[in-house]
Amino acid sequence: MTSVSPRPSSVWHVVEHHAVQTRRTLQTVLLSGFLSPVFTMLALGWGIGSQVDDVSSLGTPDYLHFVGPGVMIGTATLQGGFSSLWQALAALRWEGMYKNVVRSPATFTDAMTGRLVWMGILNALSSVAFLTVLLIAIGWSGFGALLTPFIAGLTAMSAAAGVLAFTSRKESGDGFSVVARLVLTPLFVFSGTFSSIDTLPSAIATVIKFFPTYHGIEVARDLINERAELVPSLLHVAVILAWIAVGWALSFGGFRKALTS
Amino acid sequence: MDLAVTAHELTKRFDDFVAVNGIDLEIRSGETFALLGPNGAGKTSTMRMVSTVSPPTSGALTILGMDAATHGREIRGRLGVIPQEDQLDADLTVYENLTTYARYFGQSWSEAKQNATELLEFAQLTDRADTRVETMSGGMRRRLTIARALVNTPDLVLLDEPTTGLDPQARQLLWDRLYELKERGVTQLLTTHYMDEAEQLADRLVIMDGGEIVASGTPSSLIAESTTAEVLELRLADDQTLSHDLPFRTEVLRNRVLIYADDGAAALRHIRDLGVEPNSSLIRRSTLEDVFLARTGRQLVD
Ligand SMILES: Nc1ncnc2c1ncn2[C@@H]1O[C@H](COP(=O)(O)OP(=O)(O)O)[C@@H](O)[C@H]1O
Ligand SMILES: [Mg+2]
Repeated sequence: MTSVSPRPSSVWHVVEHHAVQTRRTLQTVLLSGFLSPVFTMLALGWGIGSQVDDVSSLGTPDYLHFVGPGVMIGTATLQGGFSSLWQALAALRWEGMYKNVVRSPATFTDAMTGRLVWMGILNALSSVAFLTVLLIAIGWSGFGALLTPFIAGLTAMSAAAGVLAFTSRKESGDGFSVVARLVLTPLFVFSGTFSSIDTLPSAIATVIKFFPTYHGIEVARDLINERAELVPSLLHVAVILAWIAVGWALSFGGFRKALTS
Repeated sequence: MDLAVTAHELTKRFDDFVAVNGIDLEIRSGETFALLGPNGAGKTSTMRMVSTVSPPTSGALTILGMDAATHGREIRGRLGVIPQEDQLDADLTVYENLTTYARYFGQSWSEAKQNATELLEFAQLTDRADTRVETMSGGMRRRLTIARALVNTPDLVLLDEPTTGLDPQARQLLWDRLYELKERGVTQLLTTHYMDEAEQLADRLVIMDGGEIVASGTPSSLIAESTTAEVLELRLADDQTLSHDLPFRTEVLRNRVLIYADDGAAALRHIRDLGVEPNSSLIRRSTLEDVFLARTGRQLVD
């Protein structure tokens, strides 16, 4: 009870537990994490992209090079964020998954951490599938592209952590649809996913830069287009990591209260 | 003597509300010990502290020789905890419920599988291995919850109201499983609000009420100390009263009168001699229910 720092072996057991559960819903996971973003990307890249005459302002060879990484990271944000709404509430309160966890040698911080790590792994894996399709469509651009699933995983974790800070204090789903519609969906759409954030009013662009999705998209886009530079990329990643850390810390109290009171 | 649990002035507060008020417990290795009490007595709060899930507000707690405040992970590794509500993984099969949980106790997948097969046998669920939990009856779920709590071959098993809500048959089946555990030498701490369950299973027990221990001992010593050997239960007609001064302790309940006498038949004769003819009468031996009534003035189950 005194030690609240997560223990790697216990965190891993939570990850495994989620993996076994996810096997049951693999169809849904594949559909929302892979197939649907692939269709979105191809429809936009080939469909709208063919209508875009001048791509020079985007800084990429064509629209697919631009929108592909945007959709990858945007999807990771949606998936990670959504996972921390009803699913997280069920695991924490209704179904009692984590109530069982804390009766084993694992602790509530292992449960929280394991949940976030699992969201990272799951989204990194679906991004590998997504990236494969993207690379088939645009051709091999270099090894940097292989890092993008990792960025997608981290972005999913950051969105999951941020929303978890909210959900961990709630006993019901009140306000969840507001988070989904007014936070997650706008982040997916406006983080420079489909067009540069320079086209947004500057106040909105400033707000967008506060959130992790924009930073994930910037890095992923630079990696896919073989123009990533070390320091700016690390700064983007630092913002994402900060969201994970702060979301984790803000979820702590809610998890402790729900599981160990 | 080897003690599995010692608690000293164990207290749990929720804000201003005192759920457990400074109780002392000593549970010996190998025995089955019960906390008997009505809803709200503080049984679950006590169990959650002993399972090192919920930190005590104050008091000392030693479990399997380790301090609960500092050795939570180690202690939980040797406990089997059956909570009041089944919290099974509804989406997983019976078998997967056991194997995934065993992993938390550091078992390899092959150990976990081996164990699961044996536990399904123990819980009489072998033919259900691939069933999803969602489709199972209450009794089967309860047995699976118990099997899951045994994945780590625990030294101490905590059961919070193991048979509440089960039909008599499912209940008997579960009691049989608990006897078998006892025979294997496993220490058991259980809570119940059924006096017959405490009498059947417990070597020793405490009676809890309002967060405090109101009596403790073996079932027979508690009965011998607090009540008479027999009880005469009378049902009277609506217009009848028993206002006479009787040489017995009496308790007037909503729909019956209890008369405490070592010889129930003699007590019944005495009442008839006073000219009272009850609608019905029954002589039975005293139970823990009577002990609870004597100690608290209230019934265990309303
Ligand atoms: N998390 C909690 N917050 C506030 N009060 C609680 C909490 N858990 C239990 N209580 C209160 O503590 C008392 C004892 O509850 P509990 O330990 O569950 O008793 P029992 O298991 O004997 O029915 C009850 O009055 C209950 O309402
Ligand atoms: Mg209870």
